[in-house]
Amino acid sequence: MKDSLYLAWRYLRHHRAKTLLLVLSLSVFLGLPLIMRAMSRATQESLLARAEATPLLLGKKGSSLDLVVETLYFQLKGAEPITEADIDAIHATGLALGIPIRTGLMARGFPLVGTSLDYFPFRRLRFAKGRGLAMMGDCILGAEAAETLGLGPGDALLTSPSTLFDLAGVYPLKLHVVGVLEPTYGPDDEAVLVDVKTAWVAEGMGHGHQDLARAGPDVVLKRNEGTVTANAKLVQFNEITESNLDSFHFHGDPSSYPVSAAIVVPHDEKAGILLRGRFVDAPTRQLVRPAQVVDSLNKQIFRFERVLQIVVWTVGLATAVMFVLVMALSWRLRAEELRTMTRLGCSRWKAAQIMGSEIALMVGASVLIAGVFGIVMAQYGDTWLQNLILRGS
Amino acid sequence: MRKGARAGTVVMVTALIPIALGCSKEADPDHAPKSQDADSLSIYTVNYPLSYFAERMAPAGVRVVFPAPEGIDPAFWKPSAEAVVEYQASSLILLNGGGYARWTRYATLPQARIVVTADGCRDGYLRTEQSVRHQHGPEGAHAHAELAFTTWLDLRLAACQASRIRDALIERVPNAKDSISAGFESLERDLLDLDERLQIVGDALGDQPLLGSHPVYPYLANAYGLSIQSLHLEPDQELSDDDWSEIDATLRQRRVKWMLWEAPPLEATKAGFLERGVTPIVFDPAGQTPSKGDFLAVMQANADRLECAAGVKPCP
Amino acid sequence: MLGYIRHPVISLRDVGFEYAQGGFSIDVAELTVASGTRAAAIGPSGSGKTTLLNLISGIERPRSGEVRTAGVRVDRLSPAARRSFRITTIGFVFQDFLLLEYLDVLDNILYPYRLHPKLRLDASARSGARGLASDLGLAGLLKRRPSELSQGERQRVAIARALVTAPKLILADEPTGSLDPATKQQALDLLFEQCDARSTTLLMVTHDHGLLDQFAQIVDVEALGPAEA
Repeated sequence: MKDSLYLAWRYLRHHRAKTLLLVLSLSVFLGLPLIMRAMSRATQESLLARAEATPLLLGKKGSSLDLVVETLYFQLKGAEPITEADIDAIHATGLALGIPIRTGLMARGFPLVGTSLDYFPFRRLRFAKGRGLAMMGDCILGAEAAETLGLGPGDALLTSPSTLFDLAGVYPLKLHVVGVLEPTYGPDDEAVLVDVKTAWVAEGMGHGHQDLARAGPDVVLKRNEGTVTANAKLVQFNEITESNLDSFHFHGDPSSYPVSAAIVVPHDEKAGILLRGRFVDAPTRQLVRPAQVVDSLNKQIFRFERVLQIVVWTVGLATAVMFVLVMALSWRLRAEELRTMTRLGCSRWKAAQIMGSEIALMVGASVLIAGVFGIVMAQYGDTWLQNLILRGS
Repeated sequence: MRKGARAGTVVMVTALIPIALGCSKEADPDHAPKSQDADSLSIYTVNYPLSYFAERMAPAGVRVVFPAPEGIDPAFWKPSAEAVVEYQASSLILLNGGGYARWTRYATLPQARIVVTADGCRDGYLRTEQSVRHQHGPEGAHAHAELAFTTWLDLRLAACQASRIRDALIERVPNAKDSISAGFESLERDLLDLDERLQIVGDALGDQPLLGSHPVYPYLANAYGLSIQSLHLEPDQELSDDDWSEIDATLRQRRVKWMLWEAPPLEATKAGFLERGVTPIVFDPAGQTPSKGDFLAVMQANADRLECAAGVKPCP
Repeated sequence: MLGYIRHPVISLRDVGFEYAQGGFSIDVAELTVASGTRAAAIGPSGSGKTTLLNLISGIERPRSGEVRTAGVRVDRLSPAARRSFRITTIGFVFQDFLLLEYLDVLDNILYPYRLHPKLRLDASARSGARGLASDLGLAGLLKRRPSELSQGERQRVAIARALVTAPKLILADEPTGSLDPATKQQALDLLFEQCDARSTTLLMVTHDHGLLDQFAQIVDVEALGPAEA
């Protein structure tokens, strides 16, 4: 056996290109189902885990999938917002805790997520560095965002303008990094978490400016009794600092301010049932169970997976047939070598062993490559896949 | 790989094993208010009256903290981030309502542990007389809404705030319900006694105009029918000639006999007002921890002085 | 060893053979080659020289007659037994050398050891192969591939491969056919030298009559058939 393997190895090594091509083809054939299985298991744990860990989501009536994707995975889907009043209403029921989620802006390529302090213990987020949110203007970076941007507590981060060419749009807001989270291997790793009020300021719904009561004539257009009209020279702050914090304010009723959705955490099971009952016929709101939404999605495309599996196996079978054909043709071309072996006295069994060893070595290498790739995908594929699904959905 | 694996993404998701319906984690008892031992309970407040109310009712072992430094008006105190983190770590945060403590507007506080004590105790909050309407940019004219926030000067409203504190305490320390309720009842009696005294003062003064050193008396005025016009004068600062000119202009419009001050004014200020026929009366809003006595003592002293001015009771 | 001295290494008697697909047949009335003899088989193309070698080595089986090689009735052996007999008893030198390009010189020489479980590739075999390579002037070429060698060097590798298992008989089918005259004689000298040194019987097919005086026995393949009445 050793001799057969040796001869097979020397032959394969001598014909590197052909060997590599065949091994890679087989790897794909063997690996694809392995990868599919490994990734599906990993994805199940990751995607469903996040959905299952979120009891209820309150949003505007519409696509429940968009609501789930935007709120749980911070992928902008343009879901219509609800308001802060909805969250106050949840609290007022005494049945649940409402955690606002406000998405819409980015900060250097990472989603800016406005929320409340309750989000952090709810998601069991721990701090690797620094502290939690305390003031408007503070931001917490997810582990990956911090690593990619090279930022930590004490650094600053600018929000990105919502549209590049909106000359009348909102100026970027300078945020202060006060903490960095430990890795969670989920969407929170890529998030820039701020107080929801900070998100509103970043969106231009709140602002701070110099005191008009004390503003000079270069800023004030006119003063009537009780009313001051300022011109464009009025300095509006694009950074919230200790000295100008007081000047930041919001116009209108804060309860009318938008939030993308609310994570609703019932105090107990009965409270959850009661709450869901209240929203069954709500005309403009929906209270969904994320796990159920993700589950529905899975069911719908599960059927499609069956078809894909048939395609994958058919392709695999074709690959296997091609492999066998290539090997057969290869031995045909080596007919003289076979004749020599026979003339020298090589046993048929030995000849078969030598041919089989070549196949075994290539298959073995393919299995190894496919196995390693499958393990790697099982380890890291859930995050890649999650991003791929959510950005493509 | 990304583009090529896009079809595979659907495959991946389809390989997910569907979970049984209804197995999602709906209930999370961790987020329901937990009953605690009194010793582990800490209460942070934004002003002295709320601290006083909490201390009158809280069972032994509960820590009531009012961290604003002495000498600083807690309504305008700007705590450090570290101080905010202390508030975040507490079991219960008592806010006043009415926009009191501006810092709570821009601080991040845990919603589940906040009680806005004056919310719902009245149909809407009062506004101050003066707020600057201004216009800049495309939004049009608007005012930075200035709510009056010394709600506890309406003693019935103060009793309502105390009842909110009672309810929050009982929720967290249900074992001490009886003692908490007893503490509340005692406090309520004291507050309502004060309320009755001020009602009498209000009736006695009728629509006689008064001045106020700052716009801190709207709730007092509204509750007890007092007509108080607010100025912006500091008791510990000398008044300038411009100040006196404005005062004279005000006094020309109406005949005022008394002026309420949050603290005793300077002698020169007092003399100036007396010359103009206006008697300064100290009515300490008791927003900060008093150097002597407690909230009740301060308010009782306020009532004594008003009763004296109104002629309801002999002056001390 | 004494037993083999008593018997000829090659002995054919009344052998008749034809290919299954027809078209060619050979008859050998009698052929004997003594042990240690250097014999040449001659004849025109298509006379059956290669077929004769195939019959002697057991690659082909006669339809009749007796084929005895190194004292063994190969015509009575099963195909597996013939293969086993062949690899342990006979060494081959082919006209086109038939070396394996994917093996280096040493591995080509040792090739027969890897083809049959009866042959053990141990330290002794490796040592023997190196010695043989050294005798044939191949010591410095052991790591080279056949494509990196000259024709003469390739021929020497083929000779070494044929001798590495210490066979009793070497069958060479026109081994010098593709060599130039100088290299041809050099190769033959080496072959004769090694066979003589090991007392190995040599039967070499050739169509070059100029070499015949170097052989002790000439086998005219055309004349091997039965005498016509």
